[in-house]
Amino acid sequence: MIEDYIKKKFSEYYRLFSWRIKEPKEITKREFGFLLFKEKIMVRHKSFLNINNLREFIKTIVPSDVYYSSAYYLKPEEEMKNKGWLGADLIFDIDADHIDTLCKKEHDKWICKNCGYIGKGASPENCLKCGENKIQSETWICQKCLDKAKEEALKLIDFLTEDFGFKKDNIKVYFTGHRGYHIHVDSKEALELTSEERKEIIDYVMGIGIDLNLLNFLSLAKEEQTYGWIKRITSAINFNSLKKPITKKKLREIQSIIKDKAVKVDAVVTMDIHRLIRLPETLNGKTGLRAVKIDLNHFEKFNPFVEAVALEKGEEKIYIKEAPKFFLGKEEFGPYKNEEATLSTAAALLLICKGKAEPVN
Amino acid sequence: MLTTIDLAKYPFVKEAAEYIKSLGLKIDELTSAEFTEIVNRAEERIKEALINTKISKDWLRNDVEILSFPTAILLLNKIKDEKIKRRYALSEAKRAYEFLINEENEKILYIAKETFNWKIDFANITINNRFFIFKIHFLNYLRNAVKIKDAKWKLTNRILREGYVYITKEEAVRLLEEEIQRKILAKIEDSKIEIKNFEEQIKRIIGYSNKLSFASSTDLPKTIVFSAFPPCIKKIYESIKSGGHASHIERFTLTAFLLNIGLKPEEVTQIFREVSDFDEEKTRYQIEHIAGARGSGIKYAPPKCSTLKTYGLCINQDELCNKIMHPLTYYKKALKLWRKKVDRRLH
Repeated sequence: MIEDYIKKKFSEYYRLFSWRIKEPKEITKREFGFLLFKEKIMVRHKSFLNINNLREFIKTIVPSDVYYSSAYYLKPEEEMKNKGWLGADLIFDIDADHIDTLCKKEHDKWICKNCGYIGKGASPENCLKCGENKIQSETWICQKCLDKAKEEALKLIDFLTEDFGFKKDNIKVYFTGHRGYHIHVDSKEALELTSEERKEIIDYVMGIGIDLNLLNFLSLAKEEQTYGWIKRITSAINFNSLKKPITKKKLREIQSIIKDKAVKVDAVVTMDIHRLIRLPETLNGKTGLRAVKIDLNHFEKFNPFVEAVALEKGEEKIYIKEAPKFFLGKEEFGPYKNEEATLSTAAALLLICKGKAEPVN
Repeated sequence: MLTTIDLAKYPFVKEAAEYIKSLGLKIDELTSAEFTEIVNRAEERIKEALINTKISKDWLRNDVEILSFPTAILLLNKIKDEKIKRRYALSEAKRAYEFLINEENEKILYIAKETFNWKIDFANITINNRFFIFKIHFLNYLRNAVKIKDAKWKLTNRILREGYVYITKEEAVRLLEEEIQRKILAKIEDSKIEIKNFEEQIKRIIGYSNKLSFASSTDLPKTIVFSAFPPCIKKIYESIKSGGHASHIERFTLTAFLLNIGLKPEEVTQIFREVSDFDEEKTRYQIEHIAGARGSGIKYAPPKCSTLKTYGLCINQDELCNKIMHPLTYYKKALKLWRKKVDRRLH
């Protein structure tokens, strides 16, 4: 019943706005995947000749989530080993799930399906009480978490342009429709990077394996022009305080600088060269929000709570179990607890998708 | 930029392919008698790779040397064993490394750009107190550096600026070695030319690989070939074997020589048992020291010819002595001749 409601709303969106979905580069070489509402199964290995066929397909089956491959294949409909991998876009996933934010304790919780224990904040691998790994997490999207994710994304863009020399025009940023951002590097040269090589790029932006001796950090002259990691470290440290041999305290300071300058990305997504990623301008089944392409110049000002709203018109009466205060579209909502309320369609859809509310009737 | 000698040194460069094309040879001509030399050298390249992981660096005729490379590729394409192909590609790459490291920077840059399409250029820059002659695009860097397992090659520990990694000459040549190895392997796999009538060569190549353990990293065969010893070493060896007296420098020279051609310290100790004033404890200690197992950890090489001359140990010089400057080189060259002789006797 809840699924039917969400599906109806998604169908409405796609009927009106499927034209927003742009044709991915070399669409015929991409694999598409669709998560279905009722069956909760992923239909994969689909391919389309053009964007119109894809839009019609989405309008017909109305999936909860739409994905496409970062990879290009000779035969995208074949099973994995016969697809004929031709290359893959270089992509990065920055998600609040991978960033420690203090507010998570306020808005995220997890429930152990084994012993019923309820914990606050980010979900652990195993239940802190019984040790089982049957954890169900309930997350919320909040401004603070998304601001932090944006900060990480901006750091990554700095690495990609300053260090890796990618042109800004070739860096595309997308809001995922949930708790983070995807960054795609549109570069012909990067297509053939192996998983192993992508890992090296990840290690670089995450500051993994930095060896100060190998970087000749200590023989650095104060006035010297530096680049890359050394530049990042020296920009944050008082150079005059650096004496040889380096004290343990200083080393800790440097390590905390590295931690601060490093980007928190989900390494698995970048290293997986067969990854299915969310298709821009489709809806996220976890929120009912759009996955939005963001103009890089506008990124700093981008507000997902305004700009990712899919259905801007209409109101819905819903029953809300529990929801914190939140902002969406042009309005502020909540907090709510066990009550009926009439909200904008977008806000109602968000709460229902998040499992915090049910439609009335 | 590249001379014919360069093409013989680097037969994988695109100019070598052009050179071969200009000769207008047909692949079916390879079986004819006048090309025997080329086919032999091709087989020898593979054999040297399998036995020593080292392909010899001297030749008489440039054209034979150049043509033997693609011929070796054709032979290897017929072989299924991946290990043989990998060992060959590795050995060719090592050979190229040894030449390249002595080249002018311009030539290194030229080959990297022209043959391998690297995005590489002169940097001539000192950063973090280090001088870097080149900068290479990180994509070319990563493709090769990820294969080298050492923290200094990790991208995180490099200076990366606007897409380029700064490197030294030695590092550029090391990265080229990886590139060469990969490209040769790809060449072997991609080779589409069908060759016939080389069953014998192929059978022999598989034979070489069967005899040897691939785990061994030494450049020389496990068994020692006494007849390939240089005259100076032969003299000391015979003197000790017959229980004669040997001076300190003679013992050092023989020990270092034997250890370097692959004998274990225990085996060398065994040889010294014959010496009149044999002291097992002391001998073992000294041999282990020379082997690098004790003290400084440096494995000593025997003195070079000029030093041996100074000590008065250079005796009975033969023809081969005039072509070498080190007793170990003598041994390697003599071994090659010896192997040829054995092969001839076998066929």
